[in-house]
Amino acid sequence: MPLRTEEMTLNMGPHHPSTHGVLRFILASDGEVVHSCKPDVGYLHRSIEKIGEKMTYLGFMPYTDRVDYVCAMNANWGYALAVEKLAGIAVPRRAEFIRVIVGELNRISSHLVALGTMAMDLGAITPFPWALRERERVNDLLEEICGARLTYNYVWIGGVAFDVPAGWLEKARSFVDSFERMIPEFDRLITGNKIFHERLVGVGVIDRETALGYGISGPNLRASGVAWDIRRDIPYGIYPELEFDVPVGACEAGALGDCYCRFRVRVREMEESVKIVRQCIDRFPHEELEFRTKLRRVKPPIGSVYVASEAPRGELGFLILSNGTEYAERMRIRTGSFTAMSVLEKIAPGLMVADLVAVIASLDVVAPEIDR
Amino acid sequence: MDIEEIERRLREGVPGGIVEIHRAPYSPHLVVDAAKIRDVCRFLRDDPALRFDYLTHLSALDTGATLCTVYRVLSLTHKRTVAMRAYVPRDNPVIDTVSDIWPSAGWFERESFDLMGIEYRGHPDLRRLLLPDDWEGHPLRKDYVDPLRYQDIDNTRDYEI
Amino acid sequence: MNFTDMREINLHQSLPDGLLVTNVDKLLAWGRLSSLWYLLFGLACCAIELMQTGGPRADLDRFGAVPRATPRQADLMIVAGTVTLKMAKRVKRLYEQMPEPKYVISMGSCANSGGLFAYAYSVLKGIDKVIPVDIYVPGCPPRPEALTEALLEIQKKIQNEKYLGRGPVAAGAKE
Repeated sequence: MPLRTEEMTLNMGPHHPSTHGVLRFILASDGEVVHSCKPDVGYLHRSIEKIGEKMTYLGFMPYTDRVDYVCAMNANWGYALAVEKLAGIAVPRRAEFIRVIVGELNRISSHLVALGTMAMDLGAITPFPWALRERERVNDLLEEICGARLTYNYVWIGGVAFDVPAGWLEKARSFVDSFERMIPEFDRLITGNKIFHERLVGVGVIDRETALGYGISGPNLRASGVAWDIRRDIPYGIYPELEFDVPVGACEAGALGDCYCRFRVRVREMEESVKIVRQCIDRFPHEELEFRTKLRRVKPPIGSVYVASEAPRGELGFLILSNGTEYAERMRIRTGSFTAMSVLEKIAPGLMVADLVAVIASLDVVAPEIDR
Repeated sequence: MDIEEIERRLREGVPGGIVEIHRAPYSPHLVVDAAKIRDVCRFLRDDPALRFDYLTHLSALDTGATLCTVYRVLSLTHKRTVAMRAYVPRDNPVIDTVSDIWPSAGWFERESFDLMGIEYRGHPDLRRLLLPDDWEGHPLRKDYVDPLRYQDIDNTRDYEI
Repeated sequence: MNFTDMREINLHQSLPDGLLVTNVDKLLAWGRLSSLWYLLFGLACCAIELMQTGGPRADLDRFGAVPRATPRQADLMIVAGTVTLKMAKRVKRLYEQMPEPKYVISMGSCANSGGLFAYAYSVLKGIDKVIPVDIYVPGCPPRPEALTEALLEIQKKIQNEKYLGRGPVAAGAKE
């Protein structure tokens, strides 16, 4: 007598041990194999876009921290770029260098969280405290410069909020020197591990067509073989003066665009960030003393602007519509995790439930970027 | 190829599709006739000189008597980007979907429907994305009033701000 | 030997004869406060700070607090992050799933009162609108030291609670 199987509807979340925030997936599965996965988002919808119409441009900066709190400096920076372009505000050169240093340090700490939680989701508990230990050191550096550990509100419109304290650049340099030696340790711990390979290689392949069609950006897009990095292709700040490579998926094991590729791209991006920070510290303009254009209020002319920046999770773009007052007419935020979440509906069928956890972890989504 | 040349190519490819080019005070964009949005988008994606294969974002604006959908597309082969706007009347905000041309529009259009109330004709799964299914109203509209209660939960503040 | 604060007991030095005179309530309280298992309930930014508090530097494990993923095995719920209206029902259900005696720490401004999202249409202005809260921790996000102090305050509260002599408890009521 043949075994009769039925489709089972399984609910994953919104409260679950995987630490990517409040996400809910409604799975239709036949035993262990997923037939369809519908993400149900909105559990962290905090109406940030509507609040953008109620706050002044200067007062909206803390909200951009909360759009992506794991890499708040980059989120602040993206918003500052958009308002500066809209209102025609110039940024001093010293501030540009400081922005790159803190932005890349935050990229390192954001990737550490991504890799640590990915390893923890797969069951490897040890890399997580290792990643947190390094992240604590970055937190110390950033706390010294601006006073906060997580939601910095440091990159302001027209520059940065405070100047670098005495001795900070040397501490940053010694951090990146020691962190560069830590990356091979991390590699020895998990990258060559057989279980890690079995769980990630060949799982959740996103090919180039799907990646472009679904609007994926950032390390996820580069892991699928598309060499697109806003820092290099639509550059902002002083990135044109810096030398760095853009890691593209190299398919060291398995298929291009699988979870292992995305993992390796993030590790190599951390190495590139170390290079960028070191270059900035070497070329730091000590003779320039201006670090902020002092603004009492920001009242851009009527108009609109869309500026994209490369956040660790993808393209973070701000579309700001101005009606000539201090309050924005429309504040639209385009994030990388939103599109990364939508691709799950396409690639989930055929995966096992455990593979789905690995895919979600490797896409590095955070709930506030999806829901805003 | 700047926006004038893109517009010229579009005028040849999709007659009547482009209404006008808008420049300052807004960042340059093409105003597209809402009835021809699908033809324009398909031409933008498939024409070899344009090849706009990546939809950066699809957003909704409240422009008074009309509601507007903003599209921004990117061509990775030619490394350029162009923005478009399509206006629909506020009392009947219906426009065709482009989610089969660029699959990322699937979720962008759902969000636009959820928060602004623009309906996308032909969308395979048009339902609320970010707000609960039984939410009433479309919050990003200018005439939206915050609700005082949601189901049996009190949504008011106990303090002044 | 009598102890007013059970946390001061060091078994080797304080009990040379191996005898302890106390009441059962205090002994039970000592057991309960030294093993507060908290529900991993990180919603937003405060979740990252909760993670860092459980991490290597400000270690919560040394107080006996380990994270549990399921509410059935937890007796402390740290609401870390903004609670939206869509999530509020689920928070209440998770709270009801926790077995008695249970405690709630409201961590961060958003859980205390809505925080900087007080202007939002979709945010619950304070988790105490749906569940009873024992300790409020201010901060945006609170430092790991602040959260550790909140845990110590809960321990102090448990120590002073009369658990055995409290009489019949109605279902769902909180002392």
